[in-house]
Amino acid sequence: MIWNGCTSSFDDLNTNPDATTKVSPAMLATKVILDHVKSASSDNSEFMCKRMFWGEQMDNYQYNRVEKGSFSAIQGLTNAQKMVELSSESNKDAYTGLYYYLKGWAFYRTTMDMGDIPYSEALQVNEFRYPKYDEQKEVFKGILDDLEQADSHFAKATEGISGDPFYNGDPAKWRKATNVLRLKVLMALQKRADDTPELQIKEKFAQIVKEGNLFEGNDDNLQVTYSNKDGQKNPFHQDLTRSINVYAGTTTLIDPLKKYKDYRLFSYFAPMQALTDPIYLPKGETLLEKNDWNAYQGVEAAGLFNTEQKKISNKMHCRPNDIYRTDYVGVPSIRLGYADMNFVLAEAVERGWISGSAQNYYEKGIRASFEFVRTTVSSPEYNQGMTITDEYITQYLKGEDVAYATNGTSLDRLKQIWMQAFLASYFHLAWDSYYDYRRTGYPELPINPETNLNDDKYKIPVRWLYPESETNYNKEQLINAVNRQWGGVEDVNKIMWVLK
Amino acid sequence: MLFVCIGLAYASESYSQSATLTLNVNNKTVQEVLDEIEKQSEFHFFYNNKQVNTNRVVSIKSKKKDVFNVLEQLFNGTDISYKVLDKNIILSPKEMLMSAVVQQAIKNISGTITDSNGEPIIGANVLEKGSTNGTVTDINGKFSLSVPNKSTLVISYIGYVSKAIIVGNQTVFNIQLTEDTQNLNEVVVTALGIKREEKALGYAVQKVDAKALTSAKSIDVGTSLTGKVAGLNVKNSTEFNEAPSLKLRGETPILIIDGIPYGNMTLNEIAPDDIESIDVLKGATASALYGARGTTGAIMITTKRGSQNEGINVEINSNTMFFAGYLAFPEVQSSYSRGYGGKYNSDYVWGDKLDIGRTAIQYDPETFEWREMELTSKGKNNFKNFLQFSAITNNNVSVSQKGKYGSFRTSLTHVFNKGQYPNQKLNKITYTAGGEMSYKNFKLEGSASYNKRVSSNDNGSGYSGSYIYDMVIWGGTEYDVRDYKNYWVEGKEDEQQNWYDNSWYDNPWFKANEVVDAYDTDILNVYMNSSYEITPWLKAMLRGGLDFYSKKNQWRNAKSANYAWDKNGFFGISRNSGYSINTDAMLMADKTWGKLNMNVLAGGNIYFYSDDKLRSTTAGGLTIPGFYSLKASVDPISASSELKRKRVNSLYGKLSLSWASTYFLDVTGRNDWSSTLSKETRSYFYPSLAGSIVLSEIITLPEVWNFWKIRGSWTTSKQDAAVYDNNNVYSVSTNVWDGLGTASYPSSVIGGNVRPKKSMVYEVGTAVNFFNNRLYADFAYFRKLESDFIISGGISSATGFSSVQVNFKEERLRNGYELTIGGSPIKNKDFQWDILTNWGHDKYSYFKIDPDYSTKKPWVKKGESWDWFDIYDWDRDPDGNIIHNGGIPVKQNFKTKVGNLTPDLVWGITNTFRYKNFTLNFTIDGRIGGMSYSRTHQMLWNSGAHKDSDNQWRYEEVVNGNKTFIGEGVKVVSGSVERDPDGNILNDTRVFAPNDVVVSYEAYISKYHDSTSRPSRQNVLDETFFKLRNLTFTYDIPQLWCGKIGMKAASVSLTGQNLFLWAKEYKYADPDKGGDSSGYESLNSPSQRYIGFNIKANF
Repeated sequence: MIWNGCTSSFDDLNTNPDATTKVSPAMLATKVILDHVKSASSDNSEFMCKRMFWGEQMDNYQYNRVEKGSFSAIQGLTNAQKMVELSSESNKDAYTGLYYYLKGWAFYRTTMDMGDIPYSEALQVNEFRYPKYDEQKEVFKGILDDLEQADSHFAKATEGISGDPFYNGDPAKWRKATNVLRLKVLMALQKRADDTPELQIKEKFAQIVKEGNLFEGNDDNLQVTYSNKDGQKNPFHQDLTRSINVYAGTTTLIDPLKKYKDYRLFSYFAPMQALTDPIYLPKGETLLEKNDWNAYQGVEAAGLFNTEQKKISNKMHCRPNDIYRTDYVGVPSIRLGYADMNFVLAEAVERGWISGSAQNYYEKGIRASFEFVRTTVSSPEYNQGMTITDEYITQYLKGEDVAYATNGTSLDRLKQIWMQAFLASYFHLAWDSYYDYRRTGYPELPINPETNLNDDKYKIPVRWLYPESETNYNKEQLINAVNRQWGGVEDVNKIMWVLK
Repeated sequence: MLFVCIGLAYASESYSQSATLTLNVNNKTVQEVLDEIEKQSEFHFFYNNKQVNTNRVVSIKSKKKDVFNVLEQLFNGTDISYKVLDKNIILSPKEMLMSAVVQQAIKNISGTITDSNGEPIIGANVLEKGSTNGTVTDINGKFSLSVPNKSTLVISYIGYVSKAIIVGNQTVFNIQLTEDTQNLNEVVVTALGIKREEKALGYAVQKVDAKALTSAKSIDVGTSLTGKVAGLNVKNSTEFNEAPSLKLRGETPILIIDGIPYGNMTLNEIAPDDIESIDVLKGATASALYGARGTTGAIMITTKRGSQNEGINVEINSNTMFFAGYLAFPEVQSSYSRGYGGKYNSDYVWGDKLDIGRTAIQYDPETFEWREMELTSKGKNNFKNFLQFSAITNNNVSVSQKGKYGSFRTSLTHVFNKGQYPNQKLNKITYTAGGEMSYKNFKLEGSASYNKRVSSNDNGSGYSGSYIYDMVIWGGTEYDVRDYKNYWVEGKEDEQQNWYDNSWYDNPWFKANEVVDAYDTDILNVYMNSSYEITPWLKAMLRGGLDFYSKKNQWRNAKSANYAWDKNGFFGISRNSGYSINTDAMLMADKTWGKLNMNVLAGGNIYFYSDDKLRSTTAGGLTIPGFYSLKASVDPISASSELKRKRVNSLYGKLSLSWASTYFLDVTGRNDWSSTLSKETRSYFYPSLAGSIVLSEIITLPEVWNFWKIRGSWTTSKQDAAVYDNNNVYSVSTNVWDGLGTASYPSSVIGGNVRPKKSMVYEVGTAVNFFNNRLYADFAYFRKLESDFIISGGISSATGFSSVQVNFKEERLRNGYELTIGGSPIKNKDFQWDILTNWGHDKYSYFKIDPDYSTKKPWVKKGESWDWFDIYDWDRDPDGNIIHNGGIPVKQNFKTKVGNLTPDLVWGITNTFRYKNFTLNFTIDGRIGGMSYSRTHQMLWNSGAHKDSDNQWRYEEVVNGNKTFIGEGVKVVSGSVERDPDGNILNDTRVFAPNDVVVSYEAYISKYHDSTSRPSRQNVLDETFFKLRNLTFTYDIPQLWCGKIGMKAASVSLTGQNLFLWAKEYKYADPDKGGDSSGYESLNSPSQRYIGFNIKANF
């Protein structure tokens, strides 16, 4: 037909000249690496871990009201898959390593959030649109395998990753990060170390440490450094987090810092305005210097909202340090860090998983955290002149509560490690402190049955509910998983396998 | 050259002898000469054009000669003779004239035309059959005319049956016209611009009285359609420059102008004064011939082409309206300051008590410093003080002319709208010129119209960053906004606004002038339609339409703007342009054999659409504050572009059969080839069938029942995908991180061959008329089943994708009723009352559930409605009491359906009362049902600004430091509850007791009325309302007076719009606009009442 003949140009017409089917693996790498690393800081995580309090309204995380989780980290892996597909022979190993690293990460976080999740049937859209949920143990087995794959691909890589904004594509650095992550995953399985021989938790941990491809200093940190460029600005700047001025440090974080005479206090927080700014000084109070320890006071994380809020409205609260609020460069956010790795290693020594000196790891961790703060908050304008010198650090390590309790019980020492990990994680390692708390119970986060919005007033929730998209579209498999784990009950206080 | 000059010497002699003519004619037809003489003198020519060849070309010269001389010149040498009887001149072949003159003596007749009640009919046409000789009746229904003896008079008037009367020997006639029993012969414009008698249609069509559009002119014609069409739901916005949303049977109808479905034209581009008629084709059958784009019904606009009467006609229509109060206004408390915890601060309005001598460190706009000042409610009327007096003017001038071979019309409209927020100005110009001409069998019509709109600032509405957001929700009343008119900090002009806040809110004067979204749009559309009558029963037609638009947007914000595009300053510019071409070629045949009439149409259409967008913005701020240019960008500028094209080729045909004007049947078919689908699925066919029977022609009905018709229709229609929907491509961004670009794969699996979406509609209806058209009703029932939706079907995100592009197996049903009842309860010479009522009810339900892709929410079931609105409700005990935890209400972790988005009933009543020269017209319309989440209501509470939050609990808390509030509901004393993932209870051992926990009122209220993205159940409101939409009170200036000042007609009106609102649950925002398509109302601007006046004059 003549008419049909007129449709020959139709495919051209319907091809978007402004979109492409061809991209470089580097562009996909940039996308997936940014998505991964930029999520290293989260205010919700700070609220949940009671390091920070939000003064505007009763925040759900602040008061332990946890709702639905998300599978978006897994969904994002499609881009990583495409990245590998597009890679060439010469850089395939580096990209494949990155893929397995990200895959391990995504499933680790997702299962840690919710419990059983799809793994064996996941990421195969052509075969499984409604993938079944695997038992958490199986998911972890897969995660460990994936991360091992990542390690071996990075080890083999002869060419780097193009498009990597943080490690400049260096496979050796990615390999280190992979192994640090492996240590963290294995430590997350700590409660199952003795009754799950098939996962070889301790053995693997020891082997990774033995192989030694681990972080050697803060320079190896996987972290995002912000700058004064559009889209790269410190996300807590008041232009971007507009209510940052009513964020308040809590006693949970500030009290130990003050008790330990920890100079990080001055870099983490700004002093209370009411006591340091003459215009807001209440009658009868004396004006304090900005570096006066008494100018720093936390709000009660589990206090009655309006009581705590009143402190904030009276400016009797410690806002995050000006460097977070008013500086576009701010402080880098760490996704995987050298300090944290040392605390994991210290715990492993304490638990007898590896040999070595726990104290050494512990002190290295603390030192690393101080050094990080010293370099990133270097201006007296921000640290109130409380410069962290090497002498100071040495002094600090000898402090009464900080000095490693070699004479105490193992639990005493573990508590020291966990506390230091908690203090070092301020605005870093989003949600890691929460995972650690679920596993260890330390530091003891305040729970107030009067204000707790969790259905169980004496607990902090231990998981998120499964995503709404799963109840909408993958209901059958979801119900199987909920039946298997908790007799059909979907609740934020149900204990998942890894925490049992 | 044709030049006629008539010199009149008033003497005692007869007119024919005294009148002199001056003519200078070269090669003109006899017809033209006669016409000119008639026009310039009082002479009338009588002739039969089969006998007198008026196409003969002549040349005449006459200087102040009498008519005999001219006639002699004209007909010299022909067989035509003439007879002059004073002003009447008869032309006839010589041999016939002698006898004819005897019989056809010209005489003067007179008479009165009345209706069936004996009331005179003003303006009825009285015409001598077969001639142009005629007159109209005067105010008393009287006429006088000179006619030949043997002639026939034809008397006609709109709405009445025409009558033919043989003159004979009578000289005085008293003629009674009977009312036309119905829109029986009402002609409506149907698909492709074809005019049809309404009784022949098998589907619902409603005509809108276009005259009313020009008396109370709104900015957008859409507003004037509110309540005027059963089944059409118009949601009118209160925002500056925002067009109303029109939903016909729940879907957006296509706009057709003069038969052309343009790609870029909207109702906004059409001036009400240019509209001849509006016909709303309600169902897919009606617009089946428009293919995919017509599946949702059509609004058919026919524009004016020329004047009704011959000669030149100049019309002026001027309308001015201005602000006259508010219908819905967001009110606030003025007892407590900004702040929280009962203390003054720069956020929230939960601050300290005002006016009791308390002080706080506040910003001083005079010194630009913070200092201790008393807290007083000096800004009680801040929002009103900021708003400006708004006004709308709408002026139109049109000139039209009608002559023998055609007509021409040109019209210029200017609309000026000054919005309620400072720096809101809209200027709109519509210029249109068009005409039609016919010569022999050839007819041509065409028009072009140009529309320009310039708007100074559209910014400032919605949730974040709107004026209501800044001033009403979060603003407080302890400052006086008028003190901030000087919006720069001295010495920091272009760098720092003079304001108390530096994170969320802006000085409104600063916002109005320094945070600007301005645009400039040009739209041009041209249209051409030519037809040629090949034989009396066969016609060929070629029609083309093209529209072109260009829109330039400019955004800018000064440094220090808190809620804008970039706090460090911003400038952005975009140019969007596009065009569409729509061409039809058709052959139409019409033939009658006895009682059978057959009408066949076959045609083809090509539709092409192209849209082109370019946008560039600064990034990272401005290097030079106040320099708004891309050159001022700190970082490399960010730019994007987009090009969309689409083409659809179609072939269509229609067969219409009728028998004895009683039985009617229409069959249509259309096949489309669309570029948005893949090769395999791009060709698709859809048929339609429609029929009607005029039962009143078959059945003998009671005498008062004049007309009864039943109709039915069925259509399948198909809809292609959107442009590029099936493109499986990466999204790419540049310079995301240190110069690196990113790419991402689509989150939906694309690549299958999707079929076009399908819908099947059937419709039945009936129309009745009683008491000679004094009462009429039309009822329609429709049922539309939609299937094969092209969707992004949800899948588990664990697949790496969130959805798959597929044809949905879910089937959705829309059905509904429409009822129109109208009539003229009272009608006599001086007084007439017309009433028109429209009622529409739609229901949307699931017909079939897709086992995979339908959401598995508990209420998604066959037979249940699909326009649900769900939220996280409060956790409740079995009796429905809200459960409290620590005195604070607890939200559920799963969603619950709370209602439907669409109203149960949309209605409108229009009344017209006419008493002598006075006419009062008003429309009341409204909606019943339909839910939306009101952000205005929730956030007024949440922020602490709500009027009702000024109560004892708050006072005790803020002033005396006592918590006294106990939330209404229960608390859990013991036990727990277990739920499945849908929230169904598996096990419940909870024991409840009345909540007795005393909590902070502020903490409770800001949780009970949660943050903006978390709708609370009590703020999901029923949108039920009604409005007095418009009112016009018109005085038609008597013809007598008009004539004295050279006018044909004139009228003055008092007009009002948006005059009164009653709402069931909405209080601080206008439910007319209500929620958006997802049911969210976002701080609708104050709803304003407008009153004004209208002047029309016709020369």
